[in-house]
Amino acid sequence: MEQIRNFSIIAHIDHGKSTLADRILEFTGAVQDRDMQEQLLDSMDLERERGITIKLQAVNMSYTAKDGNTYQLNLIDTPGHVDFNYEVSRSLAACEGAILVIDAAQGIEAQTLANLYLALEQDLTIIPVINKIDLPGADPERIKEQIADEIGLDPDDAIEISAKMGIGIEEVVEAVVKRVPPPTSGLEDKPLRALIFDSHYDSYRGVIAYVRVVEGKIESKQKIQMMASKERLEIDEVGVFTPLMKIKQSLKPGEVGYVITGAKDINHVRVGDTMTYFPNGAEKPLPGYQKVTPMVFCGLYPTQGADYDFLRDALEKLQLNDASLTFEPENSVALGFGFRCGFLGLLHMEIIQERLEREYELDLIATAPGVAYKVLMADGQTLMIENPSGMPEAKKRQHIEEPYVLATIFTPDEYIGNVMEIAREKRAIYKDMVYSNDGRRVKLVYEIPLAEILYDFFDQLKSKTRGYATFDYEFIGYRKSELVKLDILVNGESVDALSTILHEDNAYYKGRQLVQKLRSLLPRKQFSIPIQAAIGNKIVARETVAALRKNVLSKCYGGDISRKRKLLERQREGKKRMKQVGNVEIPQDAFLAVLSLDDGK
Amino acid sequence: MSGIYIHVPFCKHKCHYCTFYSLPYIREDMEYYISKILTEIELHQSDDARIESVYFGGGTPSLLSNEDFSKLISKIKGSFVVLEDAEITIEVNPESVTKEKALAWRQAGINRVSIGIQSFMQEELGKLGRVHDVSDIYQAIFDIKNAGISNISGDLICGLPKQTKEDWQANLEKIIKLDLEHISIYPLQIEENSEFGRSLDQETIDKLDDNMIELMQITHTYLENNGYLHYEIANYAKAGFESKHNLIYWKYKPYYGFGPAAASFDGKVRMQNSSSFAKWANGFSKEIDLASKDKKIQMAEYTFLALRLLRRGLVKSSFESKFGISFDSVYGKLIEELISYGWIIDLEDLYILSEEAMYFANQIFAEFLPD
Repeated sequence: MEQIRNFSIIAHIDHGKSTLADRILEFTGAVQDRDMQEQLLDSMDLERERGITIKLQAVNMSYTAKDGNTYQLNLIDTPGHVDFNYEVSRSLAACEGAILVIDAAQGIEAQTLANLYLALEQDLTIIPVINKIDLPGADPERIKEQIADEIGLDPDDAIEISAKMGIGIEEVVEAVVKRVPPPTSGLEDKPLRALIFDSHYDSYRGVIAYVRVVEGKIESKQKIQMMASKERLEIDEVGVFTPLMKIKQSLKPGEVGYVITGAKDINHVRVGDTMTYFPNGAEKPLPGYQKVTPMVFCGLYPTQGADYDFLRDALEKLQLNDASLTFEPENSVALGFGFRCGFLGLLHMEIIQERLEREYELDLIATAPGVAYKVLMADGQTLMIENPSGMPEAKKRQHIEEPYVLATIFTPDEYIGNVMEIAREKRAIYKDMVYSNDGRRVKLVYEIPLAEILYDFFDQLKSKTRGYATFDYEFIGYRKSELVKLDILVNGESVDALSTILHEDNAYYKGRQLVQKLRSLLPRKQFSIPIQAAIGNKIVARETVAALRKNVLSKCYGGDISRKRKLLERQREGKKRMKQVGNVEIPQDAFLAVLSLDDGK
Repeated sequence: MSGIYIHVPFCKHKCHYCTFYSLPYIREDMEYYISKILTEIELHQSDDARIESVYFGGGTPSLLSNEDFSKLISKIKGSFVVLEDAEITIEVNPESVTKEKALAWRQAGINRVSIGIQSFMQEELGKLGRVHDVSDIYQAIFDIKNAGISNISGDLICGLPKQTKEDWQANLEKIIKLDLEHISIYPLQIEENSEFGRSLDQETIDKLDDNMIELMQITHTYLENNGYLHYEIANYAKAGFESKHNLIYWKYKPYYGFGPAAASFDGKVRMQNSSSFAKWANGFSKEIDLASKDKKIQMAEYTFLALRLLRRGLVKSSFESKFGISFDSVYGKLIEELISYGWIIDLEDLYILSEEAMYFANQIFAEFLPD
């Protein structure tokens, strides 16, 4: 027990967390140089392509330190992006210490801080590491000042390294051994309590649970029970990741590893649940994770209707180790059956979509993302509305609140004007502006409605700063806004899937844009079709899809009038029939083009 | 106030788009026709009917001889009160106009000529099956003006197979140069029982449909910019030269129709003479349009005819004095919906079609008919 060290690495994207993890694996001999696939911990293709970590991993290493003792080091990886906050808190719960990686040139960034706070909440020992000291822009002294000023750690504890060049790796590993405390000892005889902090589904072996044992001991053939789901299972196999799976006799308090029970149903082995003995289990489960609420929503529909069940299975499997993903069935006239999914943020949404498409080979249609609105009703109750079509009528509500984020934008100073212009268009509230020491980079801080950054905010920011700006955001709460529900009526009938909630100042513009777009996409029919955008009963924009010439004017003189009227009567009959069949059918591609409507396109 | 329509059912040649009632021209038949129609006019003799318009349509009324005209016009003047400033129109084809005929028409009291130009392009005229050529158009209009007839209307047909925007624009420019008082624009209707309807396949017809609205929009803009008011869906006029005769139809006023297949309206009920020459000649048998007696039908007809007049529109007070019920209480809900679509414009005391709705007006008109 004294020789176990559980730790994780916290870093901002691009600050070099994965490279450091690889160097530590190499250094401790867990992985041979020649076997090394760049950035081994990022095992998903997606993670390597994007240079980010999404799913946490756990690796067990054996290391003989300078003090002559051999230690068992468990590195539990954490995602760097704030969208994955939830995962970070999970992996941190399995640790006693964390390495905080800071870029020697860029310094501490918002997301780093967010994750650091999570670590501090769990009383973890923090080892500050200043990475990329080999780069020309590196300024370790300035970073040390930041460490002291902004996070209140002793700057002398900071280790200067270059993970890329392999400088300072031994010092980091030694610091883990010396500074990170071992797990609390003497708990082996207590009833088992093991926290499931992650899991994945293997088609051959069923659910593989990642656990950290807090008390008691896990052995194969043991009978166990899940304390929340009450599910009883028998253990097939226990082991550790080295990083490959390696079978072990048992997992003891403080140890981190995997457990296979043969469970096929992912609902039986939930992340956050506590494993205990059966019978004679523990009385209380371990504290679970703080449940996070999804912030961004969109509809996901299979392009092949037959894939609906398969999509549900895939979502369930992803949800197994990502409880922050929510979904519920939804259907749309144009898109058929699908799911309304909730995500932590935009990146999370993209990752889930890509995983569904790559890992599950699903062909998906995603509707434009939206946020959840908090609606205070006239009768005093509060509703959360995730789907615009569910918004109660104006007269039944007092007001609507929308989620706001604190956005931090770094940009070279020549693009300040452009950034401010985008911010103005996006209803952003200016909070702060700080120049870097050399005066060439600027940090701009704004409060922005989350809904505003869901559309083309990022694209605009990149294009108007030639790709130089970086952007981070964190949720800061709900605020009252002058919001309205914009409905689209085709042939006088409201089309649910096209309703949107937006700020009233944008409603006219957006309404016009939507009806124009729809007009250009709807096929011409035997009769003309009005397309309207409405707020409540008020029409704010309208267009007509003109009919084919069957309805076009023609002459009408004396002899013609009776005949003309009879023609009109026949036409009316035809139209009545069409109304019986149903409303104007909106082709799927028209729907998609409208739902994915970007400003300026 | 009312009007008189005289149908002259004879043609030397049937045009490819035509579905009007017509017979091949034989001089003996024409003489028989004249004797019969004089009788028919006399039968309706009335001292109360004040006639503000007489219209000779066809067929080909220019096939009537000078003598025929004199007989017809004096019979009409002897049977009804024809107002001093009545509009007396003859419908003509360019090839049938001569200097002598134009002078004779003028002398017989005709003060307006409606000329079927149809196109200024020889190739298009060929397609339409017209027998005149482009030079006939200019010669005819020169002769009519020289004869002292100063109110001339020209017809053009729009949306022919293979007609481009440029072709159509060229036609419009040519008609503007003629400085006529009135222009009628007809979109080519491919009727099933016309020569066109038989010869074109559905795909070709659908293609024609595609650019029709655009051609109509070009027409609207171009003619309005050149001093012609778009006063009715298919008609443009210089100020003060709106067709009195056609206004009678659109304003739901009564009119007499004489000759085979001619329609008439007594202010309440519509009827039509038999389109069989023999039946007409042997007792002037006519068919009554029974539906036109129904008040709901009458209100619908009144409304869609009024809405055809793009500037005047539907005058609410006139509707109410005609039917004894307010327009809004009959059609309020429908009108509100059409206004919200942007298809009808509310000008307080009247409703008019919006510019965009002109091009699919039939669909809107159909909405007013009872279920």
